[in-house]
Amino acid sequence: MKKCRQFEKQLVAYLHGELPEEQGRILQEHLNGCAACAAELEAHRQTVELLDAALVDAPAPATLSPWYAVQRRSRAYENGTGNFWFSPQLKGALAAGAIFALFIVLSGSVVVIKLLPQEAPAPVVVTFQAGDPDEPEVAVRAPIPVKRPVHSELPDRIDHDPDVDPVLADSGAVMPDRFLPDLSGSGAGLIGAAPVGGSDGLVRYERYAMTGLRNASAGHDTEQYNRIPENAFMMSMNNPLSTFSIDVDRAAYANVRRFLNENRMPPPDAVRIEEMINYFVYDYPEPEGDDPFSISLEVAECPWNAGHQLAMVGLQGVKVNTSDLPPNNLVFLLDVSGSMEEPDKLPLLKAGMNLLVDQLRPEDRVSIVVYAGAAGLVLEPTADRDRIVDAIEQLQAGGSTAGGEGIELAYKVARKSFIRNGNNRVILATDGDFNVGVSSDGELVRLIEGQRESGVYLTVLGFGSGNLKDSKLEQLADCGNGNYAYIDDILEARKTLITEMGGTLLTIAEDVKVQVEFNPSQVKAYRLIGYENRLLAQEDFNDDSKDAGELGAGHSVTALYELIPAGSSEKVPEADDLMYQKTQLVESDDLMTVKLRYKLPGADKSRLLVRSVEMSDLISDAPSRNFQFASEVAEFGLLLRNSEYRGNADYSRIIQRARSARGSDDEGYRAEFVRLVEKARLLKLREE
Amino acid sequence: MIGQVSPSAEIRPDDQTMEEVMSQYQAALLRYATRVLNNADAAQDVVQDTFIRFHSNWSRITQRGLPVKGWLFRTAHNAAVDLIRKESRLRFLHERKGQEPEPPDPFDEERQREREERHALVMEHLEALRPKEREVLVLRLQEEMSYKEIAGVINRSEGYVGSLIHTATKKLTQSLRHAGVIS
Repeated sequence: MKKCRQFEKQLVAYLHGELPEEQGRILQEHLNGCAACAAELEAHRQTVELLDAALVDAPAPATLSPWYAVQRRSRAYENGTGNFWFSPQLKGALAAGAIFALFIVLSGSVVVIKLLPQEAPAPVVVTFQAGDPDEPEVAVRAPIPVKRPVHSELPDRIDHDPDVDPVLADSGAVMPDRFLPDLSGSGAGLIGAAPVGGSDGLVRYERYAMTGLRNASAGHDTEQYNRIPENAFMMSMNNPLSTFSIDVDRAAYANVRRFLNENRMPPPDAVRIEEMINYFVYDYPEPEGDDPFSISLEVAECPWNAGHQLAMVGLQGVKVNTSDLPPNNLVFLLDVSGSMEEPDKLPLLKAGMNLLVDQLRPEDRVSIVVYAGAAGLVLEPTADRDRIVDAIEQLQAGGSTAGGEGIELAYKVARKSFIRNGNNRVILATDGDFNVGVSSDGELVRLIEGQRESGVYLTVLGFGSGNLKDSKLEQLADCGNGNYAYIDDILEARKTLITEMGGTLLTIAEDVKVQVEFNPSQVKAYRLIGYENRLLAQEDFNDDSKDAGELGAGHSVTALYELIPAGSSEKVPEADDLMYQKTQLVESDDLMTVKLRYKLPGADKSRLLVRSVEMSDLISDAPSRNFQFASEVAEFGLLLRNSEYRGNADYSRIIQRARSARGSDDEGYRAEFVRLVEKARLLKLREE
Repeated sequence: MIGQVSPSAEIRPDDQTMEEVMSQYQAALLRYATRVLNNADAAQDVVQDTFIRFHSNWSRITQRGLPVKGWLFRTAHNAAVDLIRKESRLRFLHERKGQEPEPPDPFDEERQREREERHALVMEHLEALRPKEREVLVLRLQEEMSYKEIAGVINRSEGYVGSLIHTATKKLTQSLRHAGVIS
């Protein structure tokens, strides 16, 4: 039975002669003895033959056009529309104010672009005359009101506030996704297009957007990313304390990789630099003593800014053998809505789960909750491997998503089968749509926060492209005492669920917070690279009721600060001096002091660790491989984000340095990094 | 940025070359795009734009020795994908215009009619698949591309293509079986 499943997947390829010879031979042998598979093959053969004949028979497509007719269209591009995004008029208009929304209406040869600057009281209307002189002028038309479509697979979750721009609200037209990358920076194109009535009475599309803007990166997707406002340089005199929560997520790197492998530059807000750095395994020392992690500190020259330094803070969680892991109570909460059907979603998830099932021990429990139209329990908590495999196999995508209900049910199952001192965890796998039931992000977050106290952790696995709600998934994991990973292929599934299973599935320290105090007599200013959505108020550091990130077994966390040394004449925007107090410097050679707070799993009170770094710790000639590699990943992130702090960051240098810092790289991830940088470099060249 | 290369600096193919390329590939591209988009007008637009892009990217394609057929299909694929993405927001292309079956013509030969009906039914089932599923089936059967060539067109791995064709065929088999077209 299980054997047939394997063969069943090969039938279609076999039919098309695409199965390697050896596999074909084995399949043939199986077919000789298995009537069910043979019948299935016959059915597929009939289908393919019928379809082939039907395609031949199908009405011939529209008449062919001669080149000169196509050329008329072509001229229209070159004369005005083809590159109009970068025409002087538009650039001027772009510079005039932040673009809030942009509408294109095209009718015949007239392009109307409405620019709605954020602060302008009335929309600015720019009209282009696209230049085919043979065509008659057509009057400017207003967009025809279009009702927002209802679509189960690609829900148009557009949070548009009509109060902000009454013009758009009145038009009733479909609003652009507000999470799209901004026009001015990335060259991303179309934000919104409205169909207009053509003279033939048919509704037609604004067609130029299709060709001229194909490089529009994520512009047409409904993927959502939260804007990342980058951390600025802080004067250590006025703001000596930098406080943040650790983040062990790595989803952004896998997502960036997916974009680059699709030959697209990722939108800047998909690039969370800390997640890119933390994707890699660093060679930090194993923890000694009572603390479940070790701390490594290192300071050396900043590769992309001469005269600046980089300070690295590295944490290494204790490694735990898989056999020593406490018993698992895993509740898979699987999105089986229609959108999960694609090969890189549910089928990939099933393959990943099967890998995990192979690793399960007798004391582990697995249950499966699915959600689509309605949430349901498809597998009661069990340790029976065959039952688990069967349940996985029977999963099918279909229906829309009721995420909220599913989450509630999953936590309920987890609480019911709770294992004391075990790893009780809900593993949510989705492409990120929650459009039935609890639907507002805020409500969902509160729902998960409410479950946090139960001692059940949350792991979020993001799948697929085109509709990934990255922002929401990360937020869910953060507020549910959990982690978030993006699974783009089976290797990543293996890395997350098997190779780093301990890190993903076993928490060794909770609410891990870092606070760094900089010494103004040595450090003029500092900037934390990444961790923008992990910043904490300085008083939160000592407040044990404030939630922070969890560290998993074997996980490492790395943070980098860019430092401007005290002697530098560089200008840093700074606050006014305090009126009523004077800061007294303490004589010290210290550069900075790093303080860490964490709780052991289940504990209420935190523990404190303190380490300081002296000026003499500064390494000038040979920084460690860890340091070199982490800093090159950060540099790559700055370039991808097109960061204002990228300094002299340079693709070729990243490639060169990352190569030399590759080390043993058993799994090949660092070599892959080098390839991705090269890819980004070429894509960037092509763009320019 | 995209607009910085002045178009006049590029070498362009002459009209005769374009006519030749078009006569060789236009029909195939149209067949492909029509099936993927379920809409002849949109397919026409996609294919015309593909040739325009071919015209303006000529020097790059020839200098790098890129395969013309692969390039054209891939470009058409990209244009179709863009259109489908937009379509999923603004549902227009999908709304088929008055496709009620025509009244049977009593003068038509019975067998021919049956065949056509069956084929029309198969096409309906094909149209019910997802665009990317239709796409790989059409590339495979109509354009007779290998899995590898298809992977090049849609810019995904061969494994993905295999998996997609498998899923699509299985779905089609199931729905045709359900409709009683196959046993």
